[in-house]
Amino acid sequence: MNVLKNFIKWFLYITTGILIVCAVVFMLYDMEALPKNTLWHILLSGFLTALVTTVFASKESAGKAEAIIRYLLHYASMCVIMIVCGHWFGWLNLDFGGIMMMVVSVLVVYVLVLGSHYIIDVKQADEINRKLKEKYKNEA
Amino acid sequence: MKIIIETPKSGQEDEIIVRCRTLDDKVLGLLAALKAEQSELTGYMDDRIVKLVPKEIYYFESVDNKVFAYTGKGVYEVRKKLYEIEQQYPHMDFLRISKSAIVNVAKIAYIRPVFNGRFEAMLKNDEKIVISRQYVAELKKKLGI
Repeated sequence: MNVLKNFIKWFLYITTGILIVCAVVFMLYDMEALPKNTLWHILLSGFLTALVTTVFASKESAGKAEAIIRYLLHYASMCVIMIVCGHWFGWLNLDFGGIMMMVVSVLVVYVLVLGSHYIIDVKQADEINRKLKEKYKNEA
Repeated sequence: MKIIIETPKSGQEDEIIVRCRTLDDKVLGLLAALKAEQSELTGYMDDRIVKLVPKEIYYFESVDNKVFAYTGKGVYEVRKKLYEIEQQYPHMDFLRISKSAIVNVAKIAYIRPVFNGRFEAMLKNDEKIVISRQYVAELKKKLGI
């Protein structure tokens, strides 16, 4: 049940991130109409990346070094998935420029998702700290 | 439920009298918490055997199949499993925070998220202990969030 909940959470986070990046790209390229099937492509790439992210997030890292390696591996796997999907969907050409564009786009989504996740964690910690103070104000 | 606190006369012992029509779950829970608070744990350090007061323990940690209690005065081995400690003190402030640790929630100064997606609890003795993400919901529940 927890795995499903986590998958849905990651799917919503990542798909929103991809949607934001797509909206910016469409605006920059001044595109008037969305290419056919783009929304399905966004959902499918969100689904695949959320699936891999759920697997990565299911095991917690023991220390900082392990966490950095896991983040790097995770980011690399996201890039591979999005480059393959992007090529399949006709979003990019498989040349240096196309690949770099996708690597940067994935980085933007990555930062957006991790950033929002961290903000939620900070809010959660604040709420817990407030309750701790209330409940144990007289404890040494 | 009415709560009355009386000061005993000099020479009299402190006592708790429960006056109720039925021993419902709420009253039984209170009694269990009172009993647990009074029940001591045995701690072992080198050749010494020490009686540990549960509420003075900061956390328990399992290391190499041994469980240690961390108190303000030192670290003692307790010859119990973590799940046995959880079962022994269900109404106290002890909470499982990872596969290998139980913390006394009353001894947490504050918590904060850390880099690897977990939370870290800073204890009132300035020690840090990691809270696994999957146990944060239990901590919130314990605090009534």
